[in-house]
Amino acid sequence: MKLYWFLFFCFCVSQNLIAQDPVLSPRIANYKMHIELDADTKKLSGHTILRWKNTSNNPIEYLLFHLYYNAFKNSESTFFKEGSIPEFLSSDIDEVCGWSWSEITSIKDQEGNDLTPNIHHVQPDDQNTEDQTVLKVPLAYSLAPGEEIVLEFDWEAKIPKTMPRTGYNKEYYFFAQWFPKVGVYEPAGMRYSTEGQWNCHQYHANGEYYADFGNYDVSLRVPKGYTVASTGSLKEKTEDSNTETWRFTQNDVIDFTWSTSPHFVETTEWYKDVAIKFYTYPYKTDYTKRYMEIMKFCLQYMEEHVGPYPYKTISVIDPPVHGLFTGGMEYPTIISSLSLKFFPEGVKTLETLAAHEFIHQYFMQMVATHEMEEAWMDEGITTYYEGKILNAFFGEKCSTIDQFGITVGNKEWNRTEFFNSSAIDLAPNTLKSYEYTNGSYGPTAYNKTAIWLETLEGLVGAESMAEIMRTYFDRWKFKHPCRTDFLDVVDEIVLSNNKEQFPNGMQWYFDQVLFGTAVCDYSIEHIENEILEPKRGFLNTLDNCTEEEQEGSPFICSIFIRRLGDMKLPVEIEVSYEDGVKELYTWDGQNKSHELKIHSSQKIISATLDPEFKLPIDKNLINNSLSISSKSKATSTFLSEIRSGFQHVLEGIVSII
Amino acid sequence: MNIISTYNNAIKNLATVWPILAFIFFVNCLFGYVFISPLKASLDETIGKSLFAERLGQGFDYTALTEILRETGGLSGLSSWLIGLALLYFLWNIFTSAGFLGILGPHSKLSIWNKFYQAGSKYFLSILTITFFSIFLFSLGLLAVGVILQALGLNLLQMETELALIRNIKLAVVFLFVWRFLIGIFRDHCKLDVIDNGLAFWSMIKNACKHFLSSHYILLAFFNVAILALFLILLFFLKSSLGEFVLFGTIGLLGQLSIFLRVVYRYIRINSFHALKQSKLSHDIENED
Repeated sequence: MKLYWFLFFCFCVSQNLIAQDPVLSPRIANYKMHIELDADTKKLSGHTILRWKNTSNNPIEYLLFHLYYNAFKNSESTFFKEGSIPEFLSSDIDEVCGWSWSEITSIKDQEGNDLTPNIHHVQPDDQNTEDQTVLKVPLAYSLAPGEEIVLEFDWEAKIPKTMPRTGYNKEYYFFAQWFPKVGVYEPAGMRYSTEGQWNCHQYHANGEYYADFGNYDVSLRVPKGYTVASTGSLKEKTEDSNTETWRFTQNDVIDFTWSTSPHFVETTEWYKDVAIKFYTYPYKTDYTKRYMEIMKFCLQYMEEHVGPYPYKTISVIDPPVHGLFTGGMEYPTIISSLSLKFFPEGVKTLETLAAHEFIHQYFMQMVATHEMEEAWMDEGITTYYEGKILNAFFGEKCSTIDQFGITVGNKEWNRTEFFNSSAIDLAPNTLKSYEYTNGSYGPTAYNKTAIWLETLEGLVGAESMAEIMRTYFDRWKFKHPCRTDFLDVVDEIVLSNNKEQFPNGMQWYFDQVLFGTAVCDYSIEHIENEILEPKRGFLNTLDNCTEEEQEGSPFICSIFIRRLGDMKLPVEIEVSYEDGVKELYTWDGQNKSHELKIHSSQKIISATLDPEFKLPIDKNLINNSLSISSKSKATSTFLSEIRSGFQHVLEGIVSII
Repeated sequence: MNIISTYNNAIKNLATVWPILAFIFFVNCLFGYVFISPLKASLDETIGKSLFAERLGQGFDYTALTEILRETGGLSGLSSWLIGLALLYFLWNIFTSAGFLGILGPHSKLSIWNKFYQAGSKYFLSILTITFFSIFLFSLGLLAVGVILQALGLNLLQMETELALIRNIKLAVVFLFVWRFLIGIFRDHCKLDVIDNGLAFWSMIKNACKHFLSSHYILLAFFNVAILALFLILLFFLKSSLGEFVLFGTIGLLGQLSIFLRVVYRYIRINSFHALKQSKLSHDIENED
């Protein structure tokens, strides 16, 4: 018993020593871990001291833990049954027994009570009793509100081979969602909880992680010669004959992730006082400059537009080709990107992934939303900022591809990804990640959200939107907001800045784009220029009929507009006259159709809906404009190129003759 | 045997046969127009009066292309149309290639059409057979490359780096180019053999095998390809550098010129091979004498 009190005392002292930095978060789940990697048996053994605080008003009888590695224990786990593991990842799992597991071998509380005999797996999401990704740990006593508990446990894990986000291949290791990790106890009033409750989902194929903030102090024992990249900062490194122990610490984060390999080449550069650490394999070091440039730009952009990056490091891993299954992931202060030597420099995958994963430091690492329950708040907002950053960095027209004269911008890429998918009206944004069907998760959570956020920006203006995002970040950083918290911020800013335009706030908008599956499509159907007939009949006298020319405008012009989709948005209409003058009109977009009648001295030659492209959510841009004359000259240039291409193809085919 | 003078002789014949080449080019254009007509109708219907159409005339525009492909359904409805046209064009060119065999060497301008049509029908089946054999040979090369690449490994997860795969793919592409180049020489030998011996398949293959690796023919084939490539590259740069500062239609004309050059190339190539063969024959006879 004394030993536990002594350990607890040491842990508290060490936590206090670590906690020299300003306290940014509630620090509910704090870990001190010692981990050993056995590179021969592909196993991890860990000793964890968890200090966990009950911040609710309920006494707590048990804790729930994630045992993520059990998702890859066998083919019966929920992760596998959901069946979204790419074939190329799971193909050799049987050949080398790449399956994994994770188990707690002993667990005790600070009183010395052995909790091990009562631990058992539970399945809060489905009835799949074969799934062992959530472990229930009944406590020896009720943990009163406001009290802390210290649990000390030993655990072991077999490392999976090439599983999504984590695992090993050859001498490359990436440990993400890897250690026994306590779930989130949501007190009454937090997010959607009406009473205190655990939020600890099983590990699903679609869906990442949700956790409380805390401090981490992690020692990693790896074979000598291995370089470790990790969450946080390296505090010390010791060695014995065959191994080296790397100790990392990081406060106020929701997770801890690391990677190791004997082949890593490490480069460090600085943005102000943030160390940007880049880890890659020797054959990819020529990408270092590109990574460093985009990371510095991201840090600067997010600092200027959202808020400062509060941590001392950001580590970027560009895995080798055999580790590509771990590319494109985000964890606190460490991200993985992906590059392949097949891609020419003009294909900006590397920058896109690096920027995207870095933005997650803000949206879901600091503003710690629940990715599995509300993926749009994480992936969608991130995709929105990804577009902004890449457009600012490369230019709007070439931020995704700029090669051989072919340019593709991030914004247009997003639109295509969504509107070309089957997800266009399949699911609202409010489903849990694992509830999306028919491949609609990505297009809905990522692309649709980015598009409707851009449309929101178009409606309320760039300044209001910037204020919304800054306020949202500032208010909810180091907390767990849900969608209503975001919507509240939007309404608050809009009612302050745009009250005249939107006196009832923006709920009507979110009902359509977030909670609904409405499709936006406005169309200009036709334009007419009618010459005003002279006035006829008994005009000035009852004695005889007269005819008088109309004064002023000789034309009555009409533009017939239709709402083809079920989404209703206010739209602007730009009208161009023969003399080159342009006028802007607005329509509330509510009815199924609208006729804009204008008395004019000039004929209308064309009309354009949404001329400033404020509504990228409009599905069809072709019918957004109409001219009274045919545009066949432009199409014939295009068709002549296509024809010429086809003729060359024909000549190519017959060259074998 | 001077390669350049052989080539020059082949070019001189153009003065006689150019109407036939122009006719073949005209048919190619016709196919182009026939191909484009349903697309044009579809485009006129969807974006005929939309200002969006203007984006099509301003170089590559991803949004414009993807919107049009989405809203018009793209080429998916036209695939059988496209395959049908390509097949028809293929058969037409079997005929023209066969026809070329009748107008090799110097001819009177008055008789070339007759000779072209007669040879076209006479050698049609022979050229078809040679073409299928060429396709078979090329497929063998492709298969070999596929098997070798597979054996060397295509699974990215099993590689230390992707550099080896990239190198292997580059080597495979080079090999396929060389293989295709050699098949071209072999095929031309077969064609010329058909004129002398008719379609005696195995003897034709045997004769072609005897001669196709001769340095003179390889050099001549290379010279032919190099001249065509040079012209196409020149046209490409001219087209790129003109950009939008040219009169409407100039870019299109340059595109058509490059098609015409490819048609001309096909004739010059077989004609120069013929000239070289004749020159070699007379050289051999002189030596025997």
